[in-house]
Amino acid sequence: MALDIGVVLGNVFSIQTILLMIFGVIIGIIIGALPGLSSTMGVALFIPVTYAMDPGTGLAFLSAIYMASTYGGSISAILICTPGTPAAIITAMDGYELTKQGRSGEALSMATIASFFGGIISVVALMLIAPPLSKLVIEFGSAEMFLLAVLGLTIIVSLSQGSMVKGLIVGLTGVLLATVGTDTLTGAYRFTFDKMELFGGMPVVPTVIGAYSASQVFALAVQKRSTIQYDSEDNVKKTYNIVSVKEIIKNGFNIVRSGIIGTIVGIVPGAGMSIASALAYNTTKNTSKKPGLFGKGSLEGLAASEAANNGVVGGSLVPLLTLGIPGNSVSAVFLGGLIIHGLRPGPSLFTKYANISYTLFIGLLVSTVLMMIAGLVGAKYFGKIATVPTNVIAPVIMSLCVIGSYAIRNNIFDVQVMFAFGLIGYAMSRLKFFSAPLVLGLILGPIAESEFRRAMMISNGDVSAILASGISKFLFLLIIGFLVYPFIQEKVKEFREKKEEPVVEN
Amino acid sequence: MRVRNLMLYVVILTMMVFFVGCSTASKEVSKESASSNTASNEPSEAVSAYPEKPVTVIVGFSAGGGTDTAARMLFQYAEKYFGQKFAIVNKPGASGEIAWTELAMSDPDGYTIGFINPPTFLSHPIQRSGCQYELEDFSIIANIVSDPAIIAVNAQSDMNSLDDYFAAAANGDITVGYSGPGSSESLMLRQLEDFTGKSVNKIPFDGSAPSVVALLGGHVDSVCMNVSEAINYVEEGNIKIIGVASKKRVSDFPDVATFDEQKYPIFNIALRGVAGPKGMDSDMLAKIEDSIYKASQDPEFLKKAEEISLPIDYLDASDYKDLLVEMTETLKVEFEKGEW
Repeated sequence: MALDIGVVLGNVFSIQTILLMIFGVIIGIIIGALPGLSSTMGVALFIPVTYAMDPGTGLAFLSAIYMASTYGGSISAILICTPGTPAAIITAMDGYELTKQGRSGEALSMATIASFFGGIISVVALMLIAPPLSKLVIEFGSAEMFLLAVLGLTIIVSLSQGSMVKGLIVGLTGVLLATVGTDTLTGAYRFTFDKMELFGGMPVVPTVIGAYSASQVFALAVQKRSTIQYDSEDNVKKTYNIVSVKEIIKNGFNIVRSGIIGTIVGIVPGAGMSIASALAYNTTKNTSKKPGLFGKGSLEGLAASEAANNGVVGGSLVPLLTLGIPGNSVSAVFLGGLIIHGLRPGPSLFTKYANISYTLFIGLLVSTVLMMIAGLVGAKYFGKIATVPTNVIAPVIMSLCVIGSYAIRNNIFDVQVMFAFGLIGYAMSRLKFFSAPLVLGLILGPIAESEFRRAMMISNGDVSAILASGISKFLFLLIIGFLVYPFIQEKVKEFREKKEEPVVEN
Repeated sequence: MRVRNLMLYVVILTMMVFFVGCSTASKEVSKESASSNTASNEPSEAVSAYPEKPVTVIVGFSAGGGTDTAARMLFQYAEKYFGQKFAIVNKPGASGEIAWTELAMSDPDGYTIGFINPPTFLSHPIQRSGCQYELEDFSIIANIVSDPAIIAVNAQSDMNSLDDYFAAAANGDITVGYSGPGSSESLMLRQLEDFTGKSVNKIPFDGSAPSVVALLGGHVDSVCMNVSEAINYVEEGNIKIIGVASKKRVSDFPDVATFDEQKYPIFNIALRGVAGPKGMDSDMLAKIEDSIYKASQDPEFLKKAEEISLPIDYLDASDYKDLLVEMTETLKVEFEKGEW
């Protein structure tokens, strides 16, 4: 059964499939926007619903949920500084600043457009060059993964606005927290205090929800503003503006580049969305004309982060469909969805089952378009949240925090963790520490640690094995570049300013 | 002033969520224990009416994972024969220990049961003195899946048997990707090492998928995992199985010799089954067991199970209990020799 594009298009554009995809997109956006309800959970919950559907339709529906939930995380990140998924932590930094400035409409629409292009780029890559890309997957051994995680950690440098020391303190605290739990390499219990809930490590999502959302609730409670955005007539009007076409075109290259970064990182199993958006953000900041604006409400940074995390969606399906290797927890669940429909990942998906696979791909493209429409239409209405009185919105966010942290493992311990990190996060923000490095350290620390030790076990302790392959050397140069470039950038700026000064005097 | 009030309000609200959450939980417990008291006074009535409401099934792993998929699929079919719904509740963490501890301590009123994964389920209390349950704390109901361990190499490798494998291990270092210390694969590798007197370089990975990536990329020489996890990679021609740790050959790979046939008398089979807390009424247990038995015979269920590579192997309560007791003894003997 070779590819019959007529059959595929007939499948995708049937009323049933389109309606299901619209439903999937809406469900996905809601799941993504609510903290604690992850893409993984969304796809897992809806797999049984697809039992009765034909495989192509069912998979198109599931992929619509995956794509839309990845985007949905940005909505709550932008409006209430609550990353619905850890993938949106980078988005929250600039997005929430924009909201405070009354530019939530612009931020939301930019996030939508960037997510759309990121998604499209990755799906096109998946359709056209998945089999050759799959070769890249297995090239990534432990040494390469270790360097990739370190590369992700270098973004702490860019994230520490003003004070590098503070950034490092917070980032390394995150790495330190990540050492809690059962050591996956030796089975030893580290800092678990015989508490079963800690055996699997510090629960990441409750920590993120606490450090971002709960701490934000406390901040809202003590501030003098009546809404999330700064009070002014002008801001209320601006809320409903969406991003201009000129601004989108200006960010065109940035979005495409970030989408490609996301796709590549997505292909690497185990790397994940946080690394992707961190890398894209860092690259964009380093090449930006206005690096100073990053973290203070930069549409550029927001677009980079969002294009990259949606780029991961298509990328993560490459190893899944070609080799049967899930690149992250969502695609692991997605694998279950494939298998339940009697599909075995591998080259045969692109030949024998081409009709089903291409129904999935075209469906993914269509649902990305639907997601953009929903996002742009919704941007005007979602933005209203920024104008809701604080005394209404703060308790609502707090309730979501509690539900969200409980829902992950049905465990009250996670709610306590969330609450504790809410207080810690609030104290940090009062002392002008940023919480993003904490979360990055917590997510990337364990990857860096275990991959480094695994590489050492494989090489019998030979450290030079880390830089043995070409990919390793490339990643190592990038790390050096990312660490050094911001300083060079600053020096150049100082140098130029000095040069300009006498000119002004004359 | 207003701002301060607001802060206070938020804090109080949060506290309320906590307190309300806790108090309803304790109320539920007291109500349940009350109902179980009445049940013990008039057992026949409560038992004959059983099941009156949905039964909760605690699963110790995340939604969407292998164990969860197996549990959801089994109970979806068992429901047909049971006459009530089964509600799956995921309580992941600590390799299932959180869920199994909770199951052991839950009320034996017939409305809470759980999915168990021996030998991991059995090895927690042996390996960790702090573990708060043991096999005796459960009413064993039935087994549904048997998934033997295997050792596999890259399809291009010239190793075809355990003899080839351990001959190579003598020449130098053979690396093997597995799921980490404490796991049942870890014990099996140790048993093989003890038996042959040769050692392999064991590289722990987070699950089988990353170790297969490493195998395909040539970063490790072999992997140790379960049959169901390997089927897809073997069918695509990427990897080759050199031995399976079951008593008989498995139907998916009739050409692959067991360890035992290759004169390595070592067995390692991952089981998945159903258990309830100790003290459940025998008629209730029989009703659940019966619904699982009927599901395991349902042709539609068997077809679905085959599609997702779930090796179904039904064992009734008494056979399953005997097997678990025997496995526990073996694990204790192995633990005497040292941790794995």
